[in-house]
Amino acid sequence: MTALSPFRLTACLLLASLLARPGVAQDRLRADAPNDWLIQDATVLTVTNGTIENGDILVRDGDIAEIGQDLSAPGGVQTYDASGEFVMPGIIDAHQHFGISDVNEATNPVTAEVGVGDVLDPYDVSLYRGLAGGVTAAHVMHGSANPIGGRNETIKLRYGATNPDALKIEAAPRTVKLALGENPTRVHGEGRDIQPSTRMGVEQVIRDALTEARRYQEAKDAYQNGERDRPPEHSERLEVLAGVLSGDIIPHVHSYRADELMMLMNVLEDFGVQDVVFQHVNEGFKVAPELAEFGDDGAGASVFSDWWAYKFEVYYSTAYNAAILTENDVLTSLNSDIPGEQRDMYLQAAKTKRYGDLTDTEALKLITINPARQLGIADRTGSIEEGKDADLAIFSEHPLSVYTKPQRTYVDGVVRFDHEDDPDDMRLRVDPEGTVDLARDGAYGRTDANSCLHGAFLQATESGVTLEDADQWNH
Amino acid sequence: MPDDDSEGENGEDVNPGNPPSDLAGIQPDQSVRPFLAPDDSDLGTLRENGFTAGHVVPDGDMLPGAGAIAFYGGDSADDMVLEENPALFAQISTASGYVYPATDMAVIAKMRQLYREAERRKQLEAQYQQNPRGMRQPPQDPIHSALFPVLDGETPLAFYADDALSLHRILDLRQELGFPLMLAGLAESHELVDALTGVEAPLFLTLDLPEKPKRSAESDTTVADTTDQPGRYYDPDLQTPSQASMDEEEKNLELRHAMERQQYLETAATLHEAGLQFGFSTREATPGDVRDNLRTMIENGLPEETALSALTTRPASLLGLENRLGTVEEGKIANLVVTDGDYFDEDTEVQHTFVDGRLYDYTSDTEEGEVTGDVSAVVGTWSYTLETPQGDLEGTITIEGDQSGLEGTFTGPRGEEEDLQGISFDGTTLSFSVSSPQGTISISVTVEGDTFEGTASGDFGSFPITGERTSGPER
Repeated sequence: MTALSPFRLTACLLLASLLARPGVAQDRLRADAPNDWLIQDATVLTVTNGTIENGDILVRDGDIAEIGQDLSAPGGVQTYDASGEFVMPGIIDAHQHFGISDVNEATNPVTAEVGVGDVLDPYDVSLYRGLAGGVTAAHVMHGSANPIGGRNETIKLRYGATNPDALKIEAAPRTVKLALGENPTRVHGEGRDIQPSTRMGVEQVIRDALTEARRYQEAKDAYQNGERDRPPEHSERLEVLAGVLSGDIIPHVHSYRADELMMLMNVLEDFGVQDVVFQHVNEGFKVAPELAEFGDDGAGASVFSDWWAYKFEVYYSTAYNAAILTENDVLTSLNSDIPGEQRDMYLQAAKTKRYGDLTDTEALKLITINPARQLGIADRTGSIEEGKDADLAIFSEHPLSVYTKPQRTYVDGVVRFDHEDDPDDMRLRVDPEGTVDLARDGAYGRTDANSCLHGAFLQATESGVTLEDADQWNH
Repeated sequence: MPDDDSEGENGEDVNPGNPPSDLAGIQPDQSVRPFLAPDDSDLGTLRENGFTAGHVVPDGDMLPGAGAIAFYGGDSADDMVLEENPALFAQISTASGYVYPATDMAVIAKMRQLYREAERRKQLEAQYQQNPRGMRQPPQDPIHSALFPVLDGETPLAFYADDALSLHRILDLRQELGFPLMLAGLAESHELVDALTGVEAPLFLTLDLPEKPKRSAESDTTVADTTDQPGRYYDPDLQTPSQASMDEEEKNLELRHAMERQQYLETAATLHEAGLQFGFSTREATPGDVRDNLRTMIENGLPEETALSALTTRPASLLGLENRLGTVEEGKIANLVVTDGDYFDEDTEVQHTFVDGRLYDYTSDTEEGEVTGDVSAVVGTWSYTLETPQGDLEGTITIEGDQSGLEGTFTGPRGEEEDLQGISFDGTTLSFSVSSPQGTISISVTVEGDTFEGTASGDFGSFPITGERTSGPER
C-alpha cells in the first residue's frame, strides 16, 4: 500500500492549518507581550532629572521600577541592550485627530455633548505610525468647525488592543474643544449664514452657551436645595459646559490671533474659569506674558514648530513662537494635529534649538512633560522617573539629531514598535469586501487627511458658499 | 449636498443643528405594523426557503420605531402580527440628510440625551400620578414616552450593528445607561467574543457573508482565490525593500484579504465555540442566498444541530415565544417546513412551508404534468376571461407539444408572460400552474370542443375562468 489513506491526508491538512493559524494576528495584538524589561547601557534623557550616561531602566509590570547604572535583571525579565542608544520619555502629542471615526459634528455652532472618546477607532494604523515616531500618548480632539465643539480624549497608543476603551487614559481630566476665528465663522457664518459670521460672533456664541450652562446649573442646584419643584430639562450639552464652569472640564481652544487669545481669556475670567490650553496659538508670542499670568497657573499653549500661511489668520507667525513662549514661562508644547505628522515630532522639537536656542531639555519638554502637564497626566507619564508608567522611546542617536532613528517604543512597558520587527502590513484587520489596497496606491496628502475641518466641507458655487457633508466627497 | 436635504416635508427651512425628530431619525413612537406586507417579494423568497416568522423592524436611522413578531405569510398585515412591540429598533446611524446627528458621536450623544430626559419625565410622571394636586402637569411627548418601557426594563432596545466598532459602542452605551439589549447583525462579532461573553442580550447573527475581495489596481477584477488556505502562505513579516518587488507585496496582501474573509465565514462557529447562543438575522442577507450561506457556515465549523436550533428553538426562546414556536409539538403554532431531504443539503428543495397553518406549496415548480388525453384537443392559442370581484381580466394561453408532454405560455392582462408549469390533460380536464407576483396560481378547467370553463385559485382565493380557442393545431 503506497497511497495515503484519506484519513492521513485530512490529518496532514489539519496539521498544516493548525501550524499556520497563529502568529498572524497575534504579533500585532501583542496580547501576551511582556511588560517587564531591563533596558541597559543607554543614554537616559529623563527630562526632569538630567541625563544618565550608561544608564539602565528596570521596568516591572509596566512601570518604571528603578533607574540607575549596572542594574541586574531579576529572573524572567528580558533585557534590551541599548548601548549607544538614547532613551527618552514617550512623546506626547497634545493635538491629533487619529484613532477616531468622527472629527466634527458641524451641524450646530455648539456641540459640547458629543465626544470623540465615544468613537475611538483602535484599528487606525496611524496609531502605529505614531509609535514608529516615539509617540506613546495623544490628545485626540474634536475638530474646529464649531465655536464649541465636543469632548476630546486623552489616549495611550496601545496599538494592538482592539477594544476602544483600552486606549483611554481613564484618569486623565476631561477636556472640551473650543474654536475661534476663521474656521467657525466660515463653516457657520459663510456656510449657513448664521451666527457666528465674525470673531465678535464667536465670542457671543461662547458667552451665550456658558451663560445658559450657568443658569442650567443654578436650576439644578435650586432643585437640589428644594427651591424648585422639578429639575430642569436634561441637557447633555449643558452638563458638559457646566463642567467647564466648575473647572472639571478643561477647554482646549483652537486659536491663532493675539486679539482673540485676549478675548477668550477675558471671557473665561468673566465666568471664573481658571484653566485653559490654547491650541496653535500662532500669535502667542505677542501676548506671552499675558498668557503666563492667566488664572492660577497660567494658560497653556500648544503650538506648531514652523507651520503657517495656510490661511489668512496664520500669516503673522514665527518659528521662534515656542521659544518665546517658553522664555516667558508659558507652559508650552508642540503638536502635530495632522495625521501623518505625528511621525517626526522629535524633529519638530529640534527646530526650537535652531529657532530660539532652547536647551536640549527645554526642547524635549515641549513634546514630553509639558504636554503631559497640559493634559493632567504628568503624574503617570511625560518623564523618566521611578514609579511612572514605562512609556519610553529609544532612538539610535540623540532624538534631536537629524540623523536619529526611532528604535523601540514602549507603552506601559510593552514593546509596541520595534525597528527590528516592522513588517509592511501592520494593519490590525482589513475589510474583507474592500479593495486590496497597495502601498503604492496610497495618496498621502494633507488635503486627504483628517484635518481640523474634517466632516465640514465648504463648497463654492455660483450661488454662494455652502456647507457640505465632507464624507460624500471623500473617496 | 442638494439643497432639499435641509428642507422639511413642507419645504420650510430646517435648522440642521436642531432638525425635526423625523429628519433626525428619531421615531421611537412609530411602529412597523402599518408597513407589514404579506406579498413582499423578499418575504416570499424567505418563505420559499422555509422561514415562517421573524422579528420585523422598520427602516430608518437611529430610532426608527417598534418592531413586530410577524408571520411570513397571510392575507393581510393583521394576519401577520403575532406580537406587537417586542423591542424598539435602534442603530448607530446618522440622519440621512446633513442634519444633527451627522456623526456617530452625535448619535451616541443624542441617545444619552433622550434616555436621560426620558428618565426625568418618567419620574415627574410618577410623582404626578401619585399626587397631582398643586403640581404642574409633566411635559409630555410621544418620543420620550415611547422610551418609558425601555427604562422599565420591559422593552429592549434592539440594535442592529455589523461592524466591531459599532458593537463596542453599543455595549459601552448599554453599560452606561443600563437598558435591556437585543443585538443583531454581529458580522464582525468574532472580533469581540470576549466583550460579548457575559452580556445579557439575545444575539442574532447575520446570514450575510462577505463577497470575495477585489483588487484596487484593476477594479472589478475579482482576486483569484490563491488557495483555500491563505494562512499557510501569508507572510506576516514581509518587508518589501523596493518598488521592484511590489508583486510580492501584492500577492501577500491578497492572501491577507482572503484570510480575513475566512474569519467571517467562521464567525458562527467562533460564537458557538465561545458558548454564545444566537439566532440568525436575514436583514442584510440576499434572501435567495440564505441557505447557501448557512451551508458555508456549516462547512466552516458550525455544527448542523446548532445551525438548526439557531433557526428554530433558539430564536423562539430568545424572543420569548418558546411556548408557541420553535418545535413540532401539539398545541404549538403550525409553522412547518417540508423538504425532500436534509434542509442543509445543497440538492434539497423546500416542498411546502406552512405559516400559521396556511400551506404554501412549492412542489408545482418541479412537478411534471401528466398527459393521457389527445393533445390536439388543447394545443393552440386560447383567449381567457378571469372573473374577479374587481372585474374581468383577459389574456391568452398558448399550449404546444405532443403526447410526450406539453408546454405553454400564460399571457396576463398587461401582456406579462409566464411559463405554464406541470401541464396535465386527461381528455377532459386541463390543469397547470403559473407563478405570479401574488404567488402560484393553479388553474384547472374542463375542455369542451373549443371552449373551457373552470377555476383559477391561489393565495387570493378562487375565481371562475372561461376560455375559447382562437387558433388550433396545424393539421
